[in-house]
Amino acid sequence: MPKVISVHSFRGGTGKSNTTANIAALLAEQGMRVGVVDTDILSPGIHVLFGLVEEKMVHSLNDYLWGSCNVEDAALDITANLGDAIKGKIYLIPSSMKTGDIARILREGYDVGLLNDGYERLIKQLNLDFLLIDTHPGLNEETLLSIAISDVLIIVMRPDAQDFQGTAVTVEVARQLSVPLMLLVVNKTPQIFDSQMVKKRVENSLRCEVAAILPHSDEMMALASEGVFVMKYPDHPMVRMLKKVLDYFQK
Amino acid sequence: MNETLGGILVVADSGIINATLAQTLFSLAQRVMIVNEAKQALALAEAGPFNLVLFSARLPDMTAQEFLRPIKNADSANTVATLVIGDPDQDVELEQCLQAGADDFLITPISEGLLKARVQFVLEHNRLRHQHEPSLENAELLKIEHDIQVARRIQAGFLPTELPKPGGWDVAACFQPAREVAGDFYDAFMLSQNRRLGFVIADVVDKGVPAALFMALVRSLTRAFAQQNYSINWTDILEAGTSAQPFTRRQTRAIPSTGTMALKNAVQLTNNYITENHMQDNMFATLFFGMLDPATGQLAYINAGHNPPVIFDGNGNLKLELKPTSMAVGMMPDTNYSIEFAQIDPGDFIFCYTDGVTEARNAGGDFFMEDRLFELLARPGTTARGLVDHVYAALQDFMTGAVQFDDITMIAVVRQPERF
Ligand SMILES: Nc1ncnc2c1ncn2[C@@H]1O[C@H](COP(=O)(O)OP(=O)(O)OP(=O)(O)O)[C@@H](O)[C@H]1O
Ligand SMILES: [Mg+2]
Repeated sequence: MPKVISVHSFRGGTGKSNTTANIAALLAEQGMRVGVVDTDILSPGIHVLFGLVEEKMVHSLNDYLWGSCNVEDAALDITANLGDAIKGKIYLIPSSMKTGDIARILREGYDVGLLNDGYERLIKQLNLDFLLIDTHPGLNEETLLSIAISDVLIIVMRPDAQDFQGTAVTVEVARQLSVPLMLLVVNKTPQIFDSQMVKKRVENSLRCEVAAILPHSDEMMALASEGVFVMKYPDHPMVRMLKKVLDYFQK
Repeated sequence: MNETLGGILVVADSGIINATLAQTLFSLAQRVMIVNEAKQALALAEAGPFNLVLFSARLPDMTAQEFLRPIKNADSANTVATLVIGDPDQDVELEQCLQAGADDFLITPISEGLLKARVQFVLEHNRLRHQHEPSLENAELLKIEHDIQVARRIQAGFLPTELPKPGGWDVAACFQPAREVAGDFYDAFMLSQNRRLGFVIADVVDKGVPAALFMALVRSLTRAFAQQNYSINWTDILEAGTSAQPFTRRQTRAIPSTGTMALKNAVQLTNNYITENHMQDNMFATLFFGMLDPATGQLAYINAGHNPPVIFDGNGNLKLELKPTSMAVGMMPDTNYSIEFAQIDPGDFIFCYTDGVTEARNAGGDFFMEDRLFELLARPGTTARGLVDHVYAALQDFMTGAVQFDDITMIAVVRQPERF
């Protein structure tokens, strides 16, 4: 049964896009067929991690929303960009980086219902095992819709007081939408923090499963979004932690 | 009492018409002007019509007769009632005024009750007199007739001049008002970047000009709201159901798919607007709004109290009646309009109509009825135009020698059979 996984955070810059890309790569490494949709239409970015240069973007999610192509026409097979280790497939449905396109979304909006139908069609047309949805921070229409249809919701947060409060809001909404599986990933944890303590504190205050406490990593910083971490540093301890996240929905 | 024509013009000082009496006058007419001088009053009378002039027999700047003469001269149709007020010692002046054409008089001091009774009497008397003046009535009727013709042209502009025809589909409509203007309408337009065909049929529950005005409102609102990209309603999403079964959740109907938000917004926001702003008019409309995916034939729809559109299959069998899913638009504030789904397969068609079709009467007073209509519809392989024309011809036949009581409106959406 194909699964839809949304990756979200209440605040920006928590590591959503990196987490999405890493999970996509780990799944594809196992031989899974994975689709990644960038619904962060207002500030797209995940295509950078997958090494997609703008010129290669023939169509984008925007074109689908505006009716100039089918959603699968915007899907790009970027498996080869991640090296030879990958047995499965990764398809990326990027959002447009053109200023005019972003302005048009702000100006006209679009029929959010198209996303729901688009996700379903992608799964069918590309024969996907997993559809990953990278989102814009905060709660907006596409995020609400994505959460509502997800089988798994991964909420990324930093161990920071502002993140705590915001994440509580997201958790509450997801509960009301009765997402079947909701997981927290705490990211950018300072090395001096005791991760067991952090885990306890987060679980106690948000009453939600914590699937990973990821450290702040200088290698990740240095990678600076120019690649997918788990592919570049396969032996880094963070890879093991991320693989553990997969166990939650891959049993 | 008819106070709408002009209003009351008063020429008297506050010694005669004090605040209390002025108040009484204000309760009798929508427009009351009180001035002291006759000159002022004449200028006002010239500028706009009043249906009653109430004046003192003792004016500061001219005699009562001098004042009355131009008023009477300007009023050749005799539509202005005149009432003169005099002191008990002024019987001579009052008599002269009555001779000069004043309709009645009042003697000071005037009581509220007396003023009210006299004003009402004079106005009513005047009104009755004019009901029997055929020349005036004809002029008025001609004017109304003209206005209705204009209204009819404006209303025709509300109907789409061209119906969209997405590939593999065929759409046609018919619209025949019972009077010059109608309370019915139909509409069809493409939505969501040409991915959906929206079509509407509606019937305002009233006839004539009021219904036509209301129709214009409902039609404009539904179309405007359908073409906006509105935010997801939190409550919609939260309604999404509690099923914990993965994946099937996606099919939950409360979660928007293409065009469904437009559909819901169109009906719900129109209802909100009308119930917030026009509740006192007691007008409502039955309305069917279909949102069709031309690629798959899936139809999402809201039927707000409208008589059920019907789906016939390629063999001429009645497949489905799309029964009302909720109350008519404009009846209840905050009505939640839920969406239903139906499938239109190749060779099928959907036929929507207003009750002017089934409730058309023949000379003997019999109704046309659903049975006759369905029999006419059971003819596979017809074009949309053919269907609509066929039904309309049969209706005209049926109504020969009888009066059309209600507006007749139909819209047919035909899915062409698959070619192999
Ligand atoms: N564990 C980590 N350690 C160090 N740096 C990290 C870590 N995770 C992410 N980063 C860095 O943080 C920045 C933001 O990451 P990312 O783009 O994945 O976040 P995001 O939540 O998708 O941001 P946005 O809200 O803008 O979409 C990037 O520069 C990334 O390299
Ligand atoms: Mg991001």
